[in-house]
Amino acid sequence: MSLFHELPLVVFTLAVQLAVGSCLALLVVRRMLWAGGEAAAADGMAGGADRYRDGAWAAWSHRPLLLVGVATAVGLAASLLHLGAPLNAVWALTNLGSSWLSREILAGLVFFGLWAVTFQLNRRPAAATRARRVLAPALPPALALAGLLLVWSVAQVYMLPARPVWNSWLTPASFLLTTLLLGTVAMAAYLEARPLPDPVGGESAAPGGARPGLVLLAVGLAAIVAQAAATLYHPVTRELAASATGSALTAGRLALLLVAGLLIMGLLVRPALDPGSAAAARGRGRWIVAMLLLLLASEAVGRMLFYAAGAVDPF
Amino acid sequence: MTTALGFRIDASACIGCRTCVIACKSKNGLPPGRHFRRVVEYSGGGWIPDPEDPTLMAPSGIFAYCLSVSCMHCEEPACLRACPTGALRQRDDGVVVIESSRCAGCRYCEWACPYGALSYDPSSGRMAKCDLCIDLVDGGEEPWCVTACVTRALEVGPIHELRERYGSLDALAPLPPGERTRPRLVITPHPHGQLAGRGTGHSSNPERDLR
Repeated sequence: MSLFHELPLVVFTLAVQLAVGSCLALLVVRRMLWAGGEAAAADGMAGGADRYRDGAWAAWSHRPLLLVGVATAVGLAASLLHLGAPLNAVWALTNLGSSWLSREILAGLVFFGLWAVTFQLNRRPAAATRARRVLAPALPPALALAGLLLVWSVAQVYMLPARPVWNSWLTPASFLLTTLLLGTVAMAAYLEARPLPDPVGGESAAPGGARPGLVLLAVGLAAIVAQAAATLYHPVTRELAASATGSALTAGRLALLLVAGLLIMGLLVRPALDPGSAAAARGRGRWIVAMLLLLLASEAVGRMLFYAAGAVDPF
Repeated sequence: MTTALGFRIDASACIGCRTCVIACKSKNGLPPGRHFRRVVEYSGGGWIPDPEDPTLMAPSGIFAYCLSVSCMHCEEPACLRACPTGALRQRDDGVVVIESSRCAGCRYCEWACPYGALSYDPSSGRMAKCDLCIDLVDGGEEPWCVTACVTRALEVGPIHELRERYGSLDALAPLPPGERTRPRLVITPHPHGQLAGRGTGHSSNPERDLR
């Protein structure tokens, strides 16, 4: 079994999924705050929606957006390393009519382009031009949608009748779950490191007392559980059952998912017990980062197994 | 459209000697480990206690046959649909050729082809494949694999003529069912030939064993 044979594609798919997942998580956080801000404005409280349209949100989301861009750029660069003749990649968009690989590359470029515009507008929020007023509210949802289309087209590349090990609805499902679990946990880690300024003042609490970080962790937990189930039933796992290395690594991946899932459950329970001093928040932050590393390791192993199992002799 | 060309393989005549493979490798200058044509051995069956003497074993449904497989120059080539750069194209005579100067070496065609017909050339970083020896066929000669076959189990010609003469069977286990890509292939089955997609045997020479 050649685990490192398709390493550029492992890096490409994971980096892109981390980027898209982070965008989705950012959108969730933004929506929750926006709702909070508007509610606060309606109640006649200070701050309100405007604060999040402008300075505070822009400053807070600068680093996560940078991560999205860097991850996408790293992924796209890594994908070039997969090519035997990278210069001919200039032709890669010429078969959009039938090739999912062409569509995947287009989706990647569109996503990266939209990210660049979003990032640029986010850097100087004070300059309220007309273009900004029209674009700014539409960009985060557009970026998230482009990201979902990207993850979808990456998965469609592997839906080949000639590769029954890949050609299962569990392939797009597991790619989407990787996207969700990496993105939510990465953004939860950032939220702990740098709590959001609150529209209503006081602690970083969204309306209804639901902290965005907890919502992200809950979504991440659901994605981890679903990913473990998808791993058990994916044809790749069945294909690898006969190989000692393959089944050992699959078991190792499931163990990583289990540990990460248990950690999240612990973190979801703890805030109820311990409202949280600054020291406790730092501790939580460290745990979430550790969890993100576990999840990155789990998904990297899973992706390597995916390629090792699929790239086999058709006869 | 001029007449599309195709292969006929006579599985009842093929003895699995692999002369076609060697001829193809010579024609295309392929090093060890790479091939445009291969011979797939498919075998199955087992052993049961001999009813006459249960201390002995008797063969039960044992079979083995060979199929010489290369690019099928399909009517709906999966490789051509998959190729992002448009480096793969189909000539008027149905032959699927690769325009090397446009190939980015992404190997996606290799994944998409159910016949394992595409071969990555590490020295150029590009894909290569059977071109049906069009340099010879255009001049009225035959491909080297066909010329070399010692049992005349391989034949090339206009596919409609081959179908008229030999029937329309285009798949036998372990080949995939023909409706996926509509290969320009006619098979004369081995007497123990098994239905594509429903075979009870296994490939006895997986690719890792080939040179």
